[in-house]
Amino acid sequence: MDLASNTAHGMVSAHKPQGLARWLFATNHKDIGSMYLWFAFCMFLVGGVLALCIRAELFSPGLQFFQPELFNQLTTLHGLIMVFGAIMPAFTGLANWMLPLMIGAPDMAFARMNNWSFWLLPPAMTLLLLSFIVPGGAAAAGWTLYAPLSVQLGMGMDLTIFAIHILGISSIMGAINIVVTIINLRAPGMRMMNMPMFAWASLITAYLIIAVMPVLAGAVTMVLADRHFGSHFFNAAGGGDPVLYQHVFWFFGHPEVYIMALPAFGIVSQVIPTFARKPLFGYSSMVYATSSIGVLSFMVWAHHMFVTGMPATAQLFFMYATMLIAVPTGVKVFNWIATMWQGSMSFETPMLFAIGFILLFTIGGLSGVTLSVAAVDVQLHGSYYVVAHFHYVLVAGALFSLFSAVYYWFPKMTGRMYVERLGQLHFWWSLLWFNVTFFPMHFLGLAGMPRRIPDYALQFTDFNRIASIGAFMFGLGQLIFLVNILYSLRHGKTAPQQPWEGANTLEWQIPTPAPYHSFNPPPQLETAENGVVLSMRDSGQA
Amino acid sequence: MDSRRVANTVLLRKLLLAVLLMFGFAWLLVPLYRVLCEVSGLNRVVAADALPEATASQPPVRPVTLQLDAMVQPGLPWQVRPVQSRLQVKTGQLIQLEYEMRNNSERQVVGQAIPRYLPAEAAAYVKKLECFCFRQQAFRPGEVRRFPVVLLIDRQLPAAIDSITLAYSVFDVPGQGRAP
Amino acid sequence: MSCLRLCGISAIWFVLHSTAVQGETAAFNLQAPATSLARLEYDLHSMLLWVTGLIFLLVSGVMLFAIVRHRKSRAYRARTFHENTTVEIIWTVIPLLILLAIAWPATRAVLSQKSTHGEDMTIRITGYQWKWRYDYLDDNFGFVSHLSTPRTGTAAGAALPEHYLLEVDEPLVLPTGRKVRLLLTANDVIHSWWVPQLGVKQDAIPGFLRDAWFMVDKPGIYRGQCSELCGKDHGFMPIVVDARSPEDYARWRDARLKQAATAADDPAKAWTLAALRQRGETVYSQNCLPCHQASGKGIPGNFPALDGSPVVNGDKAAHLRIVFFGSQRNPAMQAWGKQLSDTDIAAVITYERNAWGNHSGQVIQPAEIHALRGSSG
Repeated sequence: MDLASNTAHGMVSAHKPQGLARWLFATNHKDIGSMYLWFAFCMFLVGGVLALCIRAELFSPGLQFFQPELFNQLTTLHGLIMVFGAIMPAFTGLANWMLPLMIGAPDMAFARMNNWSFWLLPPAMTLLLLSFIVPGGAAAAGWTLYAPLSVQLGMGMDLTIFAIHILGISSIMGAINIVVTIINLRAPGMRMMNMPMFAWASLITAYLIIAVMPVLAGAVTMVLADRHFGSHFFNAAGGGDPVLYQHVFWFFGHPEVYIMALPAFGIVSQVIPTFARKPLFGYSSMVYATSSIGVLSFMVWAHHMFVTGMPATAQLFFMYATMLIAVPTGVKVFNWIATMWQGSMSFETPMLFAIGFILLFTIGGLSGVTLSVAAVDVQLHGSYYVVAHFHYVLVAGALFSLFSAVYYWFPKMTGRMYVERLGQLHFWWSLLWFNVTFFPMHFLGLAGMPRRIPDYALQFTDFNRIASIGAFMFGLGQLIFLVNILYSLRHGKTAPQQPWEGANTLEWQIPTPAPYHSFNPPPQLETAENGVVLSMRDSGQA
Repeated sequence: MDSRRVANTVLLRKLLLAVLLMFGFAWLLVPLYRVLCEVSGLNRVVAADALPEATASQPPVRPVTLQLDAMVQPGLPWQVRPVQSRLQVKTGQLIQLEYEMRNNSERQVVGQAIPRYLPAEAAAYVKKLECFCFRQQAFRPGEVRRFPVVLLIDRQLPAAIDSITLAYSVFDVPGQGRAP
Repeated sequence: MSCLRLCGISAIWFVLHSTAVQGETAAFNLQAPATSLARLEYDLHSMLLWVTGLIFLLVSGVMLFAIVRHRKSRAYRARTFHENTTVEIIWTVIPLLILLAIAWPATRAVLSQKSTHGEDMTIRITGYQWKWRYDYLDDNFGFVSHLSTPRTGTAAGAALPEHYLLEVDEPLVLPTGRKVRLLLTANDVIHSWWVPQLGVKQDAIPGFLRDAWFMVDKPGIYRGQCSELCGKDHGFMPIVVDARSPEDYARWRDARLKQAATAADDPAKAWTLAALRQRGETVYSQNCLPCHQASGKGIPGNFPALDGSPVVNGDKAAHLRIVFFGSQRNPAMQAWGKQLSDTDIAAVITYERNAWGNHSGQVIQPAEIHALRGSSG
């Protein structure tokens, strides 16, 4: 290594490649993290535009803008892009950026693989988007791609399958990197049971990804084989079983839900203590709760299949197991509130989003308990109630926590402060219109509106109107975020090393903006629970 | 320089070996699958059951309703129906029933029937001694045939089950005189 | 205040919920139950709504209190406690007990939904893309039920019928007070048969059989929809159940049986162009229109146009063949020979060859289709 000079705490002065090569051949975790985050934001906008197309069509009964087959393509691609293009890469990007800084590692463990796992994403998403213009259009079987419907579709489905393969490889490589980094590259003194909750959440998430992405790849490969190679995995005439696809898919799909939720838990567990100026309550029970959610997530998949006609015993098993997940999830919510209790809270934008997360995620969790009761699920399965439920979990859960994280770490990443007033506006705007969009969907589902339909009976008109208006306003509000970020990147106030009074994890111990190379060599740490740094000094080795 | 050359050659050999192994595995998949099916009995569609052994403490004979049905799958130009769609039977006794099948097309068609049971757990207790589902059935154009089915419901049938539905899914066996 | 507003919303939800129970409309809640199963689900859901609602109010209330009182701007000094084993055990055990309390009635409801035996009659339901077929197994007759709302492009402001998208040409007619057992299967992809007021939702799986049951309390029309994405017209295959008193049902059934005996068309009958065209238009709108459109223009890239099509205007043997056997290239073009009668196929082909810009003047007689059934192809 041709390192220039060591500054205090092992900071190495900036030596960065310039121009396109810096990004194409990026191996620096901060560069790659930034690319991930920008990519995810672009995909969030694309997926959001698809969502607005859906809401525009559903503003009134009758077919106004899209034919049914195009509508199905829109819902399918909205789901796939948001899950695989926006939320998962955003969390991987944050982990890339912040994990080495939070645990005192010089970089991610496999720098070149890191580059590859990012650069697989753009071609995969290109394949997905290209599928709109091939004959027959994009995949139109819903993001779950249920066989045998997905076996029927045109070549857009093949492009989707290849895209999922590539995305899966990318996620697995990203996850391996996170696991190895956390296990091997923690600075001396950063014990596992003292790690920041964000690191714990990322670690467990990474294990989930490694475990289930191959399952998804297997499921779609079987669809591919049924489509083109004459196999009969999901065709009863050849001895197959259509329901097998659902079992395999949801064995991936349910842990996937937690892949999108656990990092959010981690972020909130960093943000709340900072702005409550009080240590995280029940750190070790948080770690155990997160781990047990990870384990339980493998045992509940068939609650997505209560109306496929399982025997009563299977229904009861999956019902009980699902209800059980409410316990560790409840523990986490109680812990966050106990952290806030008797703290000295201030309400900057990251804290607002974190509180919004807790409130709305609780609603999503409680509607999840309702759905877990198999007998009630018979009425709610496949209805808009489910749509409402998982948007409360994923938009209010994953997305709000991501906004919280970006506002929280923006000063450390860029050296500048975001505009606080715009941030607050962004929060209140998002909170209001999110609820206007998704709360009425509970009513729609209860009243009997199935999901994934382009046109509906007249009694559903009012709530669909409200939801559509809310969706457009919510979408508009995200431009506030974009403006804030773009403006602050150039003109924001210079951020101090420690912009948040209560922040005491490792990333706040280094200069702002974080130098291009950090913690090389790693520092000697003395830490407390949740990554709190008690003391830090040079390790002395050069 | 020389050592790198050697290393490269070794690597090349390993990679070629890997390619060969992968190709070989793919090439052998079909025969391997066949062997696996033979060993595990995976591909055995439906076989005759043995009569349940008489044990000392058999539950008493009791009445059960047997509902019969058939589902003809896409691609098969047949009509399949039970001669009697509902029977009152008793456990532990031989039951004879009849299905009528008609080939509506005027070409030779081969079909295969697979029994489905409701409730699914009843499947283990219905012992089929004679059934058209044991083999593929070839029908001449327009042919109509009646098939007897002989079965026995095990007396061990759980008490909660007092009605069993037996429905055959009848499939087209492709490659045997299919329409263009 | 985010919490205040959310509490407000949930409060409104509860108020509306409680009024909806008494009123006729059920826009905020599950539809009014019409079977014991639906009532079971309704009550269970109401119970869950109260339990989860109270938990939410409690949790957000505590949080709101902390947000108001324990803030820096009020110079509240942060405490430093970060664990308390007793509290943690309490808030692990209490949710467990609540869940146990929920699990008991939930289990009973599941078992009740699953007890399909002891039925008075059996209906087999088959899902097709995109219609339902009902077979009365005890009486050996059946029919297909299509969406009857016309599929015209909706001009803004055009008045829509009251039961827009929830009306069919032939509803499933059933007697009240009889335990009806459903056997469900599908022909092509997975569908799901859902009638909210009857409390039944069950997937119909191709090649497999599933069952469900219900017993309707009082006569009435109950509407539902397919609830599993099954392709293009998933939103356009409604379900209508017409429940009648046992006497009315018996009358309907007898009429139906007589009709079935006489309705069979004589395949040898020679039809006129006008009569076949007229019948063909009906067959077309029920079966072909979703893909090929009322205009016959199809949907470019997905479904070919029939208007001006070389197949429709060319040799009639090729036209007959693709309608009868379906398309090898595009699975959406089904083998209609299995689903439609000879007369219907002859009618629809005659219609297609004499509609829009197609003016062949040709008449295809049912006998030709009958002959095609005979050909080995």
